[in-house]
Amino acid sequence: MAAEGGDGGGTVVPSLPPPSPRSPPEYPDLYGKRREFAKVQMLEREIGFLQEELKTLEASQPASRCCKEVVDFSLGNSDPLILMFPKRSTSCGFWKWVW
Amino acid sequence: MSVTELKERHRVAAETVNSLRERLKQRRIQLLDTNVADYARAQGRTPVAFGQTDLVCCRTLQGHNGKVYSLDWTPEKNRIVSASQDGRLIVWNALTSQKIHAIKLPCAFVMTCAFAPNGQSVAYGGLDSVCSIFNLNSPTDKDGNLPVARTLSSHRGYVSSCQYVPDEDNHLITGSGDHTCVLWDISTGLRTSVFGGEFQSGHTADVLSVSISGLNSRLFVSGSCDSTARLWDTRVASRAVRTFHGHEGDVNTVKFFPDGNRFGTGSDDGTCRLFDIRTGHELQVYHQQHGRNEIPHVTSIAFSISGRLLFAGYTNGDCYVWDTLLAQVVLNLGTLQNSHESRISCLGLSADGSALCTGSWDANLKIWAFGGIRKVI
Repeated sequence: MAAEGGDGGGTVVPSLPPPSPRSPPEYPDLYGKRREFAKVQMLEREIGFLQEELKTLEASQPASRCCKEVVDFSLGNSDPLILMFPKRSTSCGFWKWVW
Repeated sequence: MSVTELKERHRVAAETVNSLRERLKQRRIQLLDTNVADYARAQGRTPVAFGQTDLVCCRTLQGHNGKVYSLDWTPEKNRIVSASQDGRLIVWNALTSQKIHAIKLPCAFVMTCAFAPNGQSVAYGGLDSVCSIFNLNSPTDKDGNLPVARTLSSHRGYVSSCQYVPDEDNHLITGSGDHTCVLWDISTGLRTSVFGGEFQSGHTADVLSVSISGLNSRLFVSGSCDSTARLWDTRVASRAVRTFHGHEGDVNTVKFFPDGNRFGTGSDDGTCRLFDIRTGHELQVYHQQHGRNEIPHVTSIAFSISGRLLFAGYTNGDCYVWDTLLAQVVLNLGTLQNSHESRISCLGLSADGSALCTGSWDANLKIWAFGGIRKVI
């Protein structure tokens, strides 16, 4: 802060204007713009994928066909946890080791 | 193009996406002409009948001093690796219940572990965002600890799950809290592919589980806190092949059905579901009625080797054996003699399908096997 007056020297030193912080110049918000552009691109890509999926689904088989495959697979394969021998006691795999 | 114009373009694109999703949903409903249980019933199928002594606990593996979080069977021989809150991995001989290795981990906050296809290495991951590999044949250091053979680091969140690619000891897939899955080349320690991420069509929340198809090891599914499961092709990392909706909570666990064309899920919404990977159809919901505010979360699932049984572990200590075809609970391991005393956190089937191992917060692992004689159904 400038000192006020002297001891009658006559000259008045004008005080400096108080500091005035300036905002930085306004740069274009490239980061935000690029981010927004990337978001749009992502959505537009998603539209392409969804259209593709819709097309595939149009030609897709009904759920009953898939259910049939599940049933056929499960009944067509043996399972050591569901032994299906009529009466004979049989052990296999892990079981024969532990009992 | 100005930001305003871009925002308008974004709005239009978002509307189109929503409209397409709705059309997909409607078309899918049209194609859902039945579910597995109704189909099986219409075919005259009856549920598998289990007696109380048919599936029994034949081994209890005791040795951990904290909650068991994860387990994995070795593809050959009868060994199991388990990971626990006590900061150790234990490799067990499932036949004798003996501990073969007890590995003290550099980072105790472990969440997942996996056996390599050759049975010579194990991998683990956890809160340190790293997946580390131990070679079980390495000599121990002066403190008696097994040294880490390889560190796979680049995830920006915890490693929730890991699985070796079948028949490939050098490749492993991880799922992470950073919303991505990563395929790793263990020999170089580098990422081969990243699935998902900020500007990719991937999960929008933590990935909790991964499962690789046994039929086509290029395909894997992931389950996430975004309530979806996604199917990925390792040759196309840029986007998920398909996204599976339906769950109303975190998808905690995913597992391929043995035929490789379907997979199962387990969720915080208390249900397990069966999805078809080629059509995207939700083929069945496995749901047991509970009181309000009492819905136990599904923590882990596994299919029997024929796919007829679906084992599901729950947060309340139940472990249901579902008849996959009839969508009925045929046994609850949680009510049997010698059952766990706390939440079932993990479970897995031996490679030959003859035994089930369950891990629990009671610090134990249990092995269950068939002990009865069954008539032809």
